[in-house]
Amino acid sequence: MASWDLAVTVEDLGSDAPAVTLSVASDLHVGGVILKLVEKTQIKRDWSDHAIWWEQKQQWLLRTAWTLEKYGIHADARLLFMPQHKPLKLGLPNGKTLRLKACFSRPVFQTVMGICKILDIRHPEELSLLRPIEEKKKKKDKDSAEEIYDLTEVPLSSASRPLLYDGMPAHFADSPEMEAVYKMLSVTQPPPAPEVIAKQYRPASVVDKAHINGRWLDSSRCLMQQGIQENDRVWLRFKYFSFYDMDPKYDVVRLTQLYEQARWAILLEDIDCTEEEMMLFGALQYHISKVSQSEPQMVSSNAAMDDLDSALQSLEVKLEGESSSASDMLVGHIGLDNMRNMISYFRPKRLTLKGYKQYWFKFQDTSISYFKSKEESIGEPIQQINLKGCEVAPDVNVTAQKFLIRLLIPAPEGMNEVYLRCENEEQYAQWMAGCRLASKGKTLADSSFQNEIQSIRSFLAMQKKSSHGNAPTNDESINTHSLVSPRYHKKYKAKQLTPRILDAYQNVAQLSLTDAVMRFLQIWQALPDFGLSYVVVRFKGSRKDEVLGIAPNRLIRIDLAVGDVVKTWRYNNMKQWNVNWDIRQMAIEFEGNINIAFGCVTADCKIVHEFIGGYIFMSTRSRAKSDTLNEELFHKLTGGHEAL
Amino acid sequence: MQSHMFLVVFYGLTFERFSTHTHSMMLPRVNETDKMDDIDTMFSHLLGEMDTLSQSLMPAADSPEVDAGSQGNCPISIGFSDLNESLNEMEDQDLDALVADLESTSDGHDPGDQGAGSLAAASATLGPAWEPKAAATLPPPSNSVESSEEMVEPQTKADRIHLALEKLKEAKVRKLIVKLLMSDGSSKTLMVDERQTVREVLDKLFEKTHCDCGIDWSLCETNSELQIERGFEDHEHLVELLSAWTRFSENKIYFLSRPQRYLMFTEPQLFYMWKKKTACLSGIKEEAKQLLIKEHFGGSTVIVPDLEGKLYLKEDGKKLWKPHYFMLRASGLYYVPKGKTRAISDLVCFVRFEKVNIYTTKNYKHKYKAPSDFCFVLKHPCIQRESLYVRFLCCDDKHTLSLWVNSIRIAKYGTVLFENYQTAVKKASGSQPLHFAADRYNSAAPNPAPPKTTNVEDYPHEPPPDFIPPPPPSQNTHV
Repeated sequence: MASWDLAVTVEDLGSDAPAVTLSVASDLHVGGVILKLVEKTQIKRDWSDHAIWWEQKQQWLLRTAWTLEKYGIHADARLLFMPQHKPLKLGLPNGKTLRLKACFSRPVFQTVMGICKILDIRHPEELSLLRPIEEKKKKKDKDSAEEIYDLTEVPLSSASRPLLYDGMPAHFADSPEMEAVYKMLSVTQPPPAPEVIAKQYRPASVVDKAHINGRWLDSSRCLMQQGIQENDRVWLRFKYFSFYDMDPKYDVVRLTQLYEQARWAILLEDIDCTEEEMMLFGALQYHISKVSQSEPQMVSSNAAMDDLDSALQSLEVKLEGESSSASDMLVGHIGLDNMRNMISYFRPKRLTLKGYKQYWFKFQDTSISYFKSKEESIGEPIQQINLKGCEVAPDVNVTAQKFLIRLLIPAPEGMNEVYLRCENEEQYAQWMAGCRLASKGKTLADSSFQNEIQSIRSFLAMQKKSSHGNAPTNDESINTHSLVSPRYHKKYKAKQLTPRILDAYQNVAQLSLTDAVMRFLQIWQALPDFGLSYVVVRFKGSRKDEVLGIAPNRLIRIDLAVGDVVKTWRYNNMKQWNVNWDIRQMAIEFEGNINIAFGCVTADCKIVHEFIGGYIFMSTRSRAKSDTLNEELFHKLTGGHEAL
Repeated sequence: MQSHMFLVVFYGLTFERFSTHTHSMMLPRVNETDKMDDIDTMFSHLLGEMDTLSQSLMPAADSPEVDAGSQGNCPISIGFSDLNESLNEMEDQDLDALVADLESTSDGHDPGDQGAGSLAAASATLGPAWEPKAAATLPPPSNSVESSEEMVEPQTKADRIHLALEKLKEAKVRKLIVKLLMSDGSSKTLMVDERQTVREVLDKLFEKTHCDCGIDWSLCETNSELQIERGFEDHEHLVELLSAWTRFSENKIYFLSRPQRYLMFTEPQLFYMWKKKTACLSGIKEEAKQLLIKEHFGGSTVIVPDLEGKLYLKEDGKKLWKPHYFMLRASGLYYVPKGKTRAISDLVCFVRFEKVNIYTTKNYKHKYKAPSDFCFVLKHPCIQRESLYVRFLCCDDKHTLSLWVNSIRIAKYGTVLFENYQTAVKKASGSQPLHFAADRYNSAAPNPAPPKTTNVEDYPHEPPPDFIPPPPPSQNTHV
């Protein structure tokens, strides 16, 4: 067979170097070409990750056994010999940027699997990559020197699963820098400054929200084919809101990043929530940031810790039968002694004119009793009030030295409203903590009493700082505007937000870090609009744009004129769907002869097709098969032309 | 009869019985073996605990009148002072039944006790109850207690101390004697201790009544003054629920079958597809129902039905009902107090569910001039009379009422409700061989679902769908 010249550019020789010319025959297979090429460069190195990219066809020549003829390569082909794994800048859900080597030659689905393996995120099928939103470039952008965490040195040994060392993958233990990267991945970020939140893009309508979904990369094609170059920036995000088998023990990074994505979705009003819900989210964020500072890591317990845990547990069981009840009682006494104070008392309805009166108050179990004076406290109280089931609300203004506890005490006739006025912060913190525990039916002997006092103190401290105007904020204090979306920045001053968040905080203050993160995610998932990804579509026969919402279990149709859901179709009623790639239209058939067809406006129909197929795929996952990812089925459900 | 429920609190009295006994048992033992340090420590703990116990008992035993009268929130004292009266008032057969009940329930942890010992224990419990004041100072009728105690004969000293501590704990347990009305007009009297859940009481009643043990059986409280009722949830503790009642309460408890009790699980489509016409929901397949349950209750988060719509709200203190737009969310019930937009920023939290229960009503068209009789009430369980803190809402029809009431229960109780249902289903199917009882739910009930783990679906997974689109569609596949 006649031989001819084939020019191949070798990336490693530098961009100025001329292409290497090889004399080849058409029956030479790609592997042979690579062999000749490597020999000719005379560079000794590991070439195993390298492959040939065919520029005109936008295609990798990965089948090394195929001949040039079979690929249809002639002398005019522009070929590029380069590594398949190249550095990529990855924007994480927590807003940080990571540089790592990602696969540019395999379908994005596999690229994400590789990234997730390096980052230690299970169930990579739930995540994907998308093109970032262009940031508004200001003339003097000083932030351009943002910190980039580097993971490009991590070896590409994707064959063996990284060993666990202290609960983290072994490659993170190599150096202090690597440990810092793991910390960034696995520990929640402190609340962002209010200005940072305000600066970010916020969707103002459901149509705005739809635009982001046009940015998802195609899972069936590789990065190179989608115009992503070395060192380009892409975002890694959870795409399918169907989180399988979430286990805090194995999912430290996954959970942290999911929390970050959820937190930003709330802060940027990507998902609607009510004011009450926003305050609760704020309280949880505050708590999570506080606890993660004291607990340096969301330590996933390893085997040794498990042993210790169970040992402690059995010790507890042992003690339980013997002496725990007695020691509880002792603690109870200590608590009781501290909780006798002169406190002003006010019942608004009966004594409106008289105002506050001072009494001697005593806390006992879940009740408070009061007496005329300390001397009379041995006898009958004027009244004893059981606080179990009552509502406790703060009414505090530190600058005005106002420390009120508002109690709403249920009684057969209705609720009794009672105010207790404390003298100072310390007294307030103790009595507030006592009232809160009592309202939950716990006594002062409960182990959470001291924690409760502590959290009230720290909240008071926060109010103190925020009331000092423009004092420079140090790391210790958190501006409450950092915890809520910008809508509330306008509505409330930071000082006004504090008591509202504090109110919500009392119900979550006792949660561990993991539990608080889980609670945040649960409340997020319980929001009515959770899990909806929007796309603007044009239904067949309709003349106006409408919005299609894609959820884990259903599709919804939103009429933009009505602004509301007009139709819901569930996947389990779906018989089949088809994509007409020529006119970019999707047609879906449901049981009962219901047919819908639409063209996609804000996203390619491949994206919509992939969303639906992806959710069908997510629902087929089961525990028995959770170890291996059925990649083939995913591509079958989401692929198109180039399906495997 | 003035009261249909007797609240008898054996609080201090049972304690007295055990503590006195423990004293007599413990003291000599400890003297014999003073080298055993741990026993010493335990003993001092024990003494310490008894001190505190008797301290904590003082207010309850001393002046129940004062508290109950003025504040009404000291449940311990309810019905305490007129114990004699209430026991005297009991009809003979009730008393008989109660004694029989006590025989079977006392000392459940000592199976060896069942013979003479149990009778003795029962009478010991009742003994001091008849003369509370005396029992507080005098030693209890020790002979009977002693005899029952000797039958157990613990093996080691440590065991004995352990047992003594157990008994002390037991002594702190509140117990009530409760009269339950049956749907046929008869009644049953039961002793219930504070650790018992409604589920356990129901199981007990299943044994006593030989009913079909179906999932609909429930305990239901009625309040005649407000004309409201509520089915207790199976996980709730009966004694705690009843301590919210006032003295001389007219409230009653019924044991009856409430067919809509677990409607959200037997007919989930009514709630999760409520916007669809009922006609197209009726033909829904069993698998589709199971899928709905899995989607909304199977994950780590319970998804509350996205219920919204017009409800009438009774204006504070007036017999005036105004329509408002209401919306149910997991975090509470919201409404739009004024204006017509339903934007998220217009929603105001009407009530959160942590501290209120939901009740259905009777005859509110007449009582409060409501637009319809399909009303529901949200209130703190302690509130027993009309007040500004009782929220009255009214729906257009029966179906809407059922949607709201049951959806609010989902929002309030979440996963617990689903667990209750699963237990009830298990109970109902477990009793199948014993009772022919054509359990009409067995067809509708799911295959006894395995105990639910938190966030992994344990359900038999669906096979991959067979409606995969044909992959290479360069030809026109458009329909």
